[in-house]
Amino acid sequence: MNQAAPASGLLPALIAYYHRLEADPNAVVADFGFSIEKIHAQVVLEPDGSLFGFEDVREEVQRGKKKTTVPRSILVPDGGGRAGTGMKPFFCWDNTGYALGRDTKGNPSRAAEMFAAFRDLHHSFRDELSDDVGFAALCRFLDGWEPARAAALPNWEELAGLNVVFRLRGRAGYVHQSEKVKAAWLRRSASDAEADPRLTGLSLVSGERDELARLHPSISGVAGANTTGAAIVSFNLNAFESYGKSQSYNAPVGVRDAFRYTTALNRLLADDSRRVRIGDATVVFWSDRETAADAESVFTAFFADGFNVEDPAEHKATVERVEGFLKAAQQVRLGDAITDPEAPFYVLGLSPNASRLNVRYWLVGTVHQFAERLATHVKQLDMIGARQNDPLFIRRLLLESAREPKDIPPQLAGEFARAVLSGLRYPQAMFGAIIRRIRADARINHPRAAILKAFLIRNFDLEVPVALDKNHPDEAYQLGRLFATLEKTQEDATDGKLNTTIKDRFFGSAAATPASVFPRLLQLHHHHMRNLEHEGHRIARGKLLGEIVGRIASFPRHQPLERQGLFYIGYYHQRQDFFTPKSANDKDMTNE
Amino acid sequence: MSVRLRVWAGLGCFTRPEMKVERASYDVITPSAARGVIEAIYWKPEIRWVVTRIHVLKPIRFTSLRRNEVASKIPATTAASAMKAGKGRLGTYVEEDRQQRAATILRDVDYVIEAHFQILSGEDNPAKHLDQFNRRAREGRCWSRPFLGCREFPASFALVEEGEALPAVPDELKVERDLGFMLHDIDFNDGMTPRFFRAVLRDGVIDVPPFDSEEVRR
Repeated sequence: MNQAAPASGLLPALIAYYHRLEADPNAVVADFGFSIEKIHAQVVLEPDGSLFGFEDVREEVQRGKKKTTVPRSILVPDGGGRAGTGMKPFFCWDNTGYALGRDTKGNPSRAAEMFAAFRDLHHSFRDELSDDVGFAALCRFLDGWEPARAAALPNWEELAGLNVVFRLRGRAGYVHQSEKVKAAWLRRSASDAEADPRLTGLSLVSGERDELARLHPSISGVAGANTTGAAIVSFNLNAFESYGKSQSYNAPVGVRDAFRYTTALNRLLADDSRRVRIGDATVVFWSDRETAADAESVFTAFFADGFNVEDPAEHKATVERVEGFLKAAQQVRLGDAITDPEAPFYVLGLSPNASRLNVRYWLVGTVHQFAERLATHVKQLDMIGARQNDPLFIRRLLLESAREPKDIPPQLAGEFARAVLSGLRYPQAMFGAIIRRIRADARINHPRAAILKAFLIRNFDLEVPVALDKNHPDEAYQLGRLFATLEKTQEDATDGKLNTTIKDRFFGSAAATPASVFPRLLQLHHHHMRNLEHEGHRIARGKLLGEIVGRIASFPRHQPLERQGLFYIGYYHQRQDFFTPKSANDKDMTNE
Repeated sequence: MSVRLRVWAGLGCFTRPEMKVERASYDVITPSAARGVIEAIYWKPEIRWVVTRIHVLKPIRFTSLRRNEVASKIPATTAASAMKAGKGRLGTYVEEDRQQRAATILRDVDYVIEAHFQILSGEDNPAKHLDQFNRRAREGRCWSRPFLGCREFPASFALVEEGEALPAVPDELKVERDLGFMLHDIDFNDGMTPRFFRAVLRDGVIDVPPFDSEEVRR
C-alpha cells in the first residue's frame, strides 16, 4: 500500500486503518473469523463437566465522577450476527438463552430449543476436539445441564440474557482461546464456505477476487442508531436493489474486505476518546499512520464538548493542547505541536437513518491541510471581549443558533462542521439563524459576534475588524455604533433602572429598518441627555455622537442580512469599548 | 471521430454501489453516467458510444440532503397474476410506503466528456452519425434531458467545437489523485455484472480504459 497518498474512498481508508491496527503490537484486533464482543459473565466448569461457578466478569471503570460497570470486550469466534427468527447459536460464547437455555424473554420453550441448537453445534465438534480438555468439559457440561437450574445461579437476576463465555477451573484463558479450538473453528468456517459455494466475484474495494459478502457485519456505536448495530452497506428493502441482484451483491465487496472495514470502523466508534457528536452525526477522526495519534486527539477535542467537562484540570490541559496546536498551525510551524503533519487524515461523519447508516461527510486530506483549515476558521472568529480563554469549540457556536441545544437542526450542525473541516463557505442558514436569535432575545454576546464576523469574512468577503474601528467605512457598522451610544446614554440617564431599554424594543428593527427607528431614537436621546447628571458626561457623549453621525449619510430603509450582521458587530464593538478602561491619552470618553 | 461535450449542473450524484442505499457519490462522474449523458443527445441501435476521457473543470465539493422515496417495487409477479386474472391491485401508495433516504452528493459540477462511437450494424458511414451528434448538441437538442446520476439533477450541455480550448483546470486539481476503484459500466452480456477500473485523476483528467481492456477488472 502506498503510504504517502491518502486513500480516496471510505472503505479503502478503513481497511488501511485495519492494517495499522494489525501492525500495532499493543492493539488487539480481531482476525478474520473472530470478533470482539461484549461479555458479561463466565461459566466456570470442572473437567468432568459439572458446574463450578458462574461469575460476573464486568469491569468497573471511572466515568467522570461516577463508577460504572461495563462488560468486558473479549475476542471470540465470530458469530456473524443474527437476523430474523432462525436459530443460530454462536461457538463457545452466546447469550444465556442459547448457552444456558434461560433468558429474560419469558418463552422457556423457545429458550430450550435455542439451548438444544447450541448443544448440537458443540457436539458436532466433539470428535474433532476430543483431546482438548476445556472443550471436552464444555460438551459434558452441555450434556448434563438442566436449563431450570439457571435461576439458582448467583447474580442471575442481573446477568440473565447477557453474553457468557466458558472457562475451565484452574486453567488460564477461556475455552475458546485454546489454539486447538481456534483452529477447529477456522477449519469449520472454511469448509462451510466450500460446502455452500457462495457467489464469488470482484471486490470493488481491493479489485481482488473473493467470496462476496451477502450481508456486511453491523456497525455499532453511532448515536441514535439501532443499538444492536446498523450497516453502511445494506439493502434491506427491495426498492434499493437493482439489476435483479439481491442484498449486498448489489455492491460486490469481498468477505475479507467487509470484515476488515467493519472491524476497523467498530474499533474507531467504540473508543470514547475519539468519537464525537455533531448534530445527529457521530464523527470519528483517524489516520492510517501511528505517528498521527496526537493529531487525532487534538481534532477530537476541538469538535467535542470543549466545555462542561467534569475535571477542570484535564479540561485545562486539553484547551492548552488545542491552543498550542492552533497557534502552531497559524504560524506555519505545525511540526512543533504534532509529530507527523504530513500523515493522511480522514474525517467520517455517520448519521443513522432507520436501520442504516448514512455517510454525512467524508473528508480526506493530510493533518497539515486540516490543521490549516481549523486555524483559518479560528482566526476568522477572533473577536474582542472573550470571557474565558477557551477557544470557541464547534458545539459552543452551534448553541447560538437555537434557543435550546435540542433545537439545533442536525442538518445545519453537520453542514457547519463540514464547512469548517473543508475550509469552504459556512452554511447560509446558520447566519440567518443567528440573526434571528439576536432579534428574538436582543442579545449579542462574544460567540455571536465572533460567528457573525467569521461569516461576513468567509461568505460575504467583507472586512471586519477584531475590535472597534472608528473609521470603518461601512454605514451599517456606524449605525451599530450609534445604537450602542444611544442605549448607553439612556442607561446613564436612568441609572440603569429601566425594565425595558431601547435595545429591548428596537434592537432588531434598528438593524433591519434603520430609517423607521433612528429618527425617533435620536429624539428620545435629546431627552435622555438632559437627564445626564454631569456636565462632563454630556459633553463627551455629545462629541461621540457627533463623530458617529458624521460618518452616516442617511438611514437606509432596509438593510440586507449581511449589513444587519455588520450592524450588530458595530454595536458590539462600541459597547465593548464603553467598558474597556481607557489609557491616559484617550480621554474623550468617560469611564464607568 | 471523437466528440467533446461539456456538461454542468448545480448538483450531481454518481452513487457508489457500496453506498447505494444511503447514497454517497463518487468524486467525479462515472464513465457509464457520461455515456448516459451522450446517449440522451444522440443514440441509435446501430452505434455504441465509448467514453475515453473525462475532464473535471470544477473543484470536487459535496453537500448532503434527504429525500422522500419509497420502500418497495411493485413485484412483476403481481402484475403477471393481475393480467391473468383480469383484475387485481397494482398500485403502491407512496404515503404508506415511505423511506427517507439521505444522500451525500456533489455540487457545482462541470465536466467535459470525450467520447467516440463504434458502428455495430447498418451502413458504415461514421460521418453521418458524427454530424448528427454535433448538430444536435450544438442546437441543444436531446431525446431526453441529460442528467447527472439522478433524474432530479438535470444537466446543461454544450458542444465543445473541434480545436476549441478547454477552460483552465482549478489549481487544487493539478495533482495526481488516486480515486480508487470506480464503476466503469455494467456488463449486460454477462449477468449484469458491474466492472470496475482504477480511476486516477491527473491534472483534472481521467483517462478511461476501454471496457474490454486489461485495466478493467473482471
